[in-house]
Amino acid sequence: MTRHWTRLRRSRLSRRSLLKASARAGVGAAGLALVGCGDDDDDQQSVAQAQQQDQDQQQAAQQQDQQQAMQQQAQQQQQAMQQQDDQAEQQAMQQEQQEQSAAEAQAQQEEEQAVADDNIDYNATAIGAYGAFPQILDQGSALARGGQSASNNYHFGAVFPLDPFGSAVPGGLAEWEFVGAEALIVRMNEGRTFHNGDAVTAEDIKFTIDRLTGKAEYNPEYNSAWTGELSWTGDNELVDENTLRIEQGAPSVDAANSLALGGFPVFPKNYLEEVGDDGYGQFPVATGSFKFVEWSPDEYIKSVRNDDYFNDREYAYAPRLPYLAGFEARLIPEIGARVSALEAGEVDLANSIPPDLAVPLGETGDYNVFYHPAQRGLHIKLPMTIEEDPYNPGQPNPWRDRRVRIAANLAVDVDAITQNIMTGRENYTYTLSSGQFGFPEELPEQRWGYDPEEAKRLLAEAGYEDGVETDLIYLAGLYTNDQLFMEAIAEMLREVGFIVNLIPEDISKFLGEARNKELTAPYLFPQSAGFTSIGSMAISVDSAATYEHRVEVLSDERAEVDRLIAEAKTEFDTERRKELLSDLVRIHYLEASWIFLFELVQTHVAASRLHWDPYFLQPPSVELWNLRSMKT
Amino acid sequence: MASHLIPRVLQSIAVVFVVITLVFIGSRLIGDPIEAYAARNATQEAIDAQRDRLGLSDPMIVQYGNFLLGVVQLDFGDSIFSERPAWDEVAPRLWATVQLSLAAFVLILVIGVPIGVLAAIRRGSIPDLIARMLALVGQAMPNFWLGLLLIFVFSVQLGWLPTSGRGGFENLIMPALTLAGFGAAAAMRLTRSGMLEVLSNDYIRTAQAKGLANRTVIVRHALRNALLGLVTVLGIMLAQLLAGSIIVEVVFAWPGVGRLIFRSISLRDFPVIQVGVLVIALWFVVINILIDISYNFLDPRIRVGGDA
Amino acid sequence: MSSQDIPATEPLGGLLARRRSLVRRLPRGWPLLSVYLLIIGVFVVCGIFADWIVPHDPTDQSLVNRLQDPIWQEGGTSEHLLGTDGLGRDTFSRLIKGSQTSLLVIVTIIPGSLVLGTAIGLVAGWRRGLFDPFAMRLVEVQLAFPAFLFALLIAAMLGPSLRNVVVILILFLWAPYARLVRAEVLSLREREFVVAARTLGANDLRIMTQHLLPNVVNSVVILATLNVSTVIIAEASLSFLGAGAGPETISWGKMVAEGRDLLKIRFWLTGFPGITIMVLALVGNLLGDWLRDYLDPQLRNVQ
Repeated sequence: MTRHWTRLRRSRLSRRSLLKASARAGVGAAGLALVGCGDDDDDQQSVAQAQQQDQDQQQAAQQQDQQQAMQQQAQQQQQAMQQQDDQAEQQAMQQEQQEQSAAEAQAQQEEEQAVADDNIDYNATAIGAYGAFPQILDQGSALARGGQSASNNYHFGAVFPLDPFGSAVPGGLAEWEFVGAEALIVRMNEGRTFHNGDAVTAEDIKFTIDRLTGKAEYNPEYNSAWTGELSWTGDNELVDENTLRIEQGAPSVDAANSLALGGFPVFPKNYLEEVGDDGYGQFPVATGSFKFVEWSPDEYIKSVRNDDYFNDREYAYAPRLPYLAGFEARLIPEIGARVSALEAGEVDLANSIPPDLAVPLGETGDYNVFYHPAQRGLHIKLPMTIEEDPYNPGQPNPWRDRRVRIAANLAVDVDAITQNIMTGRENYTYTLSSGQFGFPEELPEQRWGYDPEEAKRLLAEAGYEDGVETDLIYLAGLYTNDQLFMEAIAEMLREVGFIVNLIPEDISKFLGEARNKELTAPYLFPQSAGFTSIGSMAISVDSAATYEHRVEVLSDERAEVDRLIAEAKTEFDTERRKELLSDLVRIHYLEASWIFLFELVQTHVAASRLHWDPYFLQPPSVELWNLRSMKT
Repeated sequence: MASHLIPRVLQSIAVVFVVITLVFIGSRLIGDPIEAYAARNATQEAIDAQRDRLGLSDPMIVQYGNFLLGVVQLDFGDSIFSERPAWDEVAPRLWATVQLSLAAFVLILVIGVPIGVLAAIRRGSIPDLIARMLALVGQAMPNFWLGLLLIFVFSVQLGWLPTSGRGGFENLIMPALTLAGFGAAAAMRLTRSGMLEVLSNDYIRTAQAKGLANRTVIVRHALRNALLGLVTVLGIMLAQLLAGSIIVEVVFAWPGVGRLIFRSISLRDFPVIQVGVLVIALWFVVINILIDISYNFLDPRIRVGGDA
Repeated sequence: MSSQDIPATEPLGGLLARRRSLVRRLPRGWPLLSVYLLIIGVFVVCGIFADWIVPHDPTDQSLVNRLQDPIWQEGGTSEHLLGTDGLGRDTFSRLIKGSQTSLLVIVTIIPGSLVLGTAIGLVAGWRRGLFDPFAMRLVEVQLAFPAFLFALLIAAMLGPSLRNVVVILILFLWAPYARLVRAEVLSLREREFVVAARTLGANDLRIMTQHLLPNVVNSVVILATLNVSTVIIAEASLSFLGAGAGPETISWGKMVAEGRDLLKIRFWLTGFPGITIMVLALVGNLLGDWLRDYLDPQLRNVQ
């Protein structure tokens, strides 16, 4: 229990590092074999290196590569002065290496993978079925909300790449340099192009930031989805044609990270000004690992591999040059129809399939089930800012009583839900998501476990023997099995004396109410927790500021929480920052500020030829660049 | 004929007017999406500016006037989400839905009417029994379930037909069948009962007594009279297929106008809702006018719109 | 026996009115009829006394017992005759409880729309004048306005609830009755017996209720019986789109909708409520057919 948090991280780290190493050796060899066939692998050097290594040395080489990768990573982060602490991960990794059995098993697995990599079909294409499509394909627009995993996440590429923990590293489109906490200097790398062949210039980066912060001259009213992430930016100016200086208007440890987030869009200035916002929403040209070809709204989105993608397959970080030559996303809203389409062979990948259907399909051996640890720590937010009980005017809001909140937490048997309704792989969440903050190691010992009797007692003690009346709001159909687990939660709350009226709500209505702070009832928080690095904490606090503080506590602790957030946001010393964040998480959890649930694990089912492992700790969606099709 | 048609057309315009007015009011009542989809740190001023730009801060009556003015000029406003003309969102999906509806209607005619006639002629026989069972089951089957069952049987088990999407003729079969299922069953029943009713009438028996061949009697008298009652029902069916295709479009991922409106409602993209419903309403009244005209040919006893 | 004793709104009323002839001679097809009536009786009893006859509380969840197979499958238990759903709730109990919702929907929507539609159709067809085009345009508005989309608009505005479903379906289902009745009255008004009645000085009300209504009753009854399935399916379809009964209501339509994702591996989750809907709709339609044959004196003599 106590190791719950670190265990996840450690095992992931080890697997990723090994995969990285094996990808170098294995893919290099595969690349060699394919050079004559005109494969687009342009990293001759690593091919040559791979050639020199014989099979017996591979294991050692992997270890070495792994160490190098880690050191390189650590160096870059130290140089950058502001990167968050990866010492914990390094220690964790060393511990992991001592845990021989687990490590060996995984090494074995990865070795098999390396062999299997010889079988990758680089000319293969795939069709994926999705339950939702965006309305437009402009990743920058708030109007494109929903369904991005079907499209924009792979058409668009960020300025910097990410390491497996979701931290930015210099490289990709540009290198960076911090000028203290004053400014971020972005230096463009040579030879990076947009999908239409235009070079990516510093002016494009400037345009991108201006557009996303509502400063672009062509349309200052642009409805940006990224203002929260870019709230640290101040003025920016071109130093020379290859260099952009971005002032840190509000100094943030996450300045570089925000330009590396999954799906962060870089726009081509000339093209966008030529076609306008509406034209761009229909035909995006960007820097992602896949090129947009055509779409029919509500029907399909066709893409091909961006063969000029600058991060090749041996690149240490992600995204990389995709394995698939092309991809078509199809919109199939019905879950049953998605599965049927997969079984009929019309699609190769069915996204978001409930475990009840996915697991039996996986057991047939004809399909691969992808367990996708989505970056969503689900929790039910409680309406604590309201003084009065909306159901009994004149009475105090019961949710402001800590005992009521604890009772609600004790009433919900989260493990029963994850074990029976979900995949069983979900972790209980103590905060936004376990990858998010510094995490107090001792917190699991203080977990609000399932204890309905104690919940009843607390309610009675708080003076609510006759129950607490409340609505419970959620957005129906947003997450796998959400109707099921919300009905289960409602029933569990009823068992201890809450009088629950469960309300599935419409997304537009919900978002409007949330923005206007008109939500007076507990609700399932529907948004992803931002990215997963410890350092991205500030982003998640900032981006939520317009709705409500994500970290919600009552007045006594409010000042302390605000202080911790403000301090952590500019605390460049990683150890110190982690302490601050741990304090924050602890206060928040022990105050039972939310009803804490679990970190969502989504299940996707694919034809047996398709393989995918999450590169990131918590990927935003199935990472298309990492989807491999095996030769059959 | 023309003198009958003109008031009829004017009335139909009134119908369309009432429908789009109701839609206008309905889509204003569900609220606008500006706040829900504004940038996360957008200020109230920015939101207000956005509303001004879309004309949403005008008084309702002004908005309504502008809307009607736009409709007259065939300018329906821009979709809030794609920022393209709302008509451009509807148009490509309209053909998909019309295609589906017409295919379903053909199936209703081809399956429903002949089997209904056959069942009436051979009342009480085994074919009649089978036809009646089919009709009963067809009408008792929710069409999303029928759709899922068809997918399960014909795509998954037999692998004959694609599960979803729009493409060739084979993509059309199951959605059209699903959409037609209920209507075909209803048409079968109504044809049968209509035929039986007419067959029992005195003039048919008279004709029979006159010694006309059984077949001629049925075709010339019974069918013609039975069709009179059917035309209304079939017309309504055809008109409503367009609006009723939402569920089929969802189940079969058919990129049609029903699903567009469905989603636009949840997104509050009211310009798109308005055009979509306008198209459905127009489709409906045009078909109704055609039904009324066909009445004149089918039953001279009725003087359509004569004294209306 | 004059046909005017048969009230338009109560198909079964006509049956009772014929009690004497029932005694004298059992109606044709009475064995089947008794089966229909038995099924309808079970349905009505279940609907009214649901809370007393359910073996389990239909809202009782048991996550460890979820998705249990029905009794005849391997792994099924007599505890849950028809297995359990995704939250471990007893399917059989939910079916029984769901009949309450269906009964409620049927007994409110069918009479509501029937009375409204028939009255409008009669007046429009007989009096004509200004009311006729007005009523018919109103019908067209109703029919031209996609009811489903309207229901979705309402649900988007007020949230899903059974009450909204009932009101919307009444508002949209009267139109077919009105249209049908008017069309029939239009062909009847030139008929000899109507012309004769008018010549003899009968007033409008009398002609409409005594001469026209009995003659349109058959069509109306057929439409109403068809509407039993229409209503159930409409409610199910609205639930399918998330605009039907609210989350606290158990309805067959919702059960079908909720189980649809698992159709392939747990057919009975949609199968049982689906079959129940079909059986009830089937019986409604068969009873309608039977009534039609029985009530129409002309038809009875037809082979």
